[in-house]
Amino acid sequence: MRFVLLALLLFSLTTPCRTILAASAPLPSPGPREKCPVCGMFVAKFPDWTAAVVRTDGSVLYCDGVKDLLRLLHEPPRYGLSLPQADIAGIRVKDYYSLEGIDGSSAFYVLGSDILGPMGKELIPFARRAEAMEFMRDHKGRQILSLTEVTPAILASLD
Amino acid sequence: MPLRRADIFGVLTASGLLLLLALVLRGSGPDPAEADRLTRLQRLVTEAQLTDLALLTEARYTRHPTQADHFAPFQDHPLALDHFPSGMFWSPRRPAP
Amino acid sequence: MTGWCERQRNILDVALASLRRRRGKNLSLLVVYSLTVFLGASVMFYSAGLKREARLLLSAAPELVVQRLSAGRHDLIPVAYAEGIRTIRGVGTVAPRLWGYYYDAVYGANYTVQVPTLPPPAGEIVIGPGIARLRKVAAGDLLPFLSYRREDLLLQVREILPAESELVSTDLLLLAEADFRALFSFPSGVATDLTVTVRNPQEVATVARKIVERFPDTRPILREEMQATYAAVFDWRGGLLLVLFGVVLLAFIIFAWDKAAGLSAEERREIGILKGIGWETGDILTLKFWEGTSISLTAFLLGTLLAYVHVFLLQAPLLAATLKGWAVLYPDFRLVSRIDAFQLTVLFVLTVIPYTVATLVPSWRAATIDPDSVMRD
Repeated sequence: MRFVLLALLLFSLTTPCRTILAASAPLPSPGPREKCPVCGMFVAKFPDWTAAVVRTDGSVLYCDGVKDLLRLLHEPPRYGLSLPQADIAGIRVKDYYSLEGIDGSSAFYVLGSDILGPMGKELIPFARRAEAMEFMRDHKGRQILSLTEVTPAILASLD
Repeated sequence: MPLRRADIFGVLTASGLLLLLALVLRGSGPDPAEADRLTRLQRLVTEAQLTDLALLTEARYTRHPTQADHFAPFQDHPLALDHFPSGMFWSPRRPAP
Repeated sequence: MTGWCERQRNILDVALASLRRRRGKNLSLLVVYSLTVFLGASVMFYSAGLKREARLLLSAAPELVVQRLSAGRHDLIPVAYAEGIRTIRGVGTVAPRLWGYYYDAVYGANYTVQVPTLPPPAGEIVIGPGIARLRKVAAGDLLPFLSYRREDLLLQVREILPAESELVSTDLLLLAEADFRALFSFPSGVATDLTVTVRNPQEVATVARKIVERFPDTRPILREEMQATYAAVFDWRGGLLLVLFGVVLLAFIIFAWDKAAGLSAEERREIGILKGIGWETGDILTLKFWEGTSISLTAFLLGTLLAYVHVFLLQAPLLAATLKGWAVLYPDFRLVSRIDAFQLTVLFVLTVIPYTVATLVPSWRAATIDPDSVMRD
């Protein structure tokens, strides 16, 4: 139920801007002691994979990959956090090619590629659809998804 | 009582082992001076865009082995004896990436 | 426990006294043994040090170098290729690199001439410490070069690279692009090769593949390949020297076997008397064990410590002489003093264990001597 609500919310948030490119959005870098709430690894060790939720109060929750970030968004209590929708100011991920922070809610994610993140199989984020398509060709990707299209079932398939 | 041979031997051997251990530990600990040196040298390598060590300067393939052709030490034919003595130390193949 | 310790201490005492009685024989054994360990340890420390240095320094090398091949040989690459490479996804910057060699006919030395990313002003050069040593110049001096048009080119030394950088820079001559083109009559619109930066390190191999697809006459060289080349070179080098070391080791084992097996009449009588006054076979074996251990431990310690001094404090004069070729310019470098437990373990296994095994059978034979027959002789 929670997931459906979240999906609806994200969808309603992102629909107006889905047609335009994912704007580059600043992604603050994590501190050296910052741990991913999902897997417990130090986030700063994998700067190319940083994904984050920015809260309305300005604080940031870091994960070492899109997979863990989405797990956190789907089920915050499971990781000892409360993350009401009203508290989420934005989602930031790193574009695979440029390694710059982009808006996660409008990014394109490639599923099933041969590029592995720190936690194994990953969803690889891109700012532009054309880049995602090229990456999919180069790295045997299966599918391009938007953030809302990633279901817990898909996440489970990434284990 | 005079020192026994066994004790002298024991002390000498133990101090030798300790010295060796100290040398190992000295190399394994963090060394700020060494880190500084590396940073300076890596900056030089990046700025000058260097790809090789300047160990043997007599021929292209010994000065820049990474930039040379695979067959460089065996230019004339595959069994050609190398012209330069240092070529003896050159591996005839390049490792696969 | 203290009883056992005291017993070992007493036996060690007897062992040392017995070694001392045959001073000449055991001293020569110790010298040869120490030299063997010294040789193996020197090779190991030296090649490991160079390998480490190459890996660390080349981690700052360009991520990707793109060469153009012409009839299978390295050729100049059109700068226009850079535009095409820049459009490949994931590529950060593409920069032409200008470098080559200048043969100094007077001194018979080869210099590596290169235009760095931040070149000195035209007319000035930055030189490596090896060139400064060879030409006896200091910062501010003028160095003459003969251009490919047979014109004299006077360049002023702006700076000499620091001595600590010898290993990468000894023969380096950094200059401005205009001087480079003037020196070699280098055509415009081409470069020696291109360097490419790739933002995401995971994507380097894919970018390299796409470069070859788009420009089939090019050859990309990855930074990993550069590092792997050096690792392979030093393994090969170290391997060759280790083969020589293996021969030395074998000769030493034969030597040790011979020394241990040829029990002198005096030694036989000694063992016979010890047995006669109540020593058991086990005690004689312990005695022989301590004799062997004291020699091999001492030789191991002496050999490794001497090798440490040789490689790290004296810059390995014995090895460097065998590695040097025909060049005129050599780097005068000092390796970082660093040894690790793994190297020592390998050395220990390679030198102490063969010795122990070689002396095992002779000790057993010595321990089982019949005292009666010995004392009767």
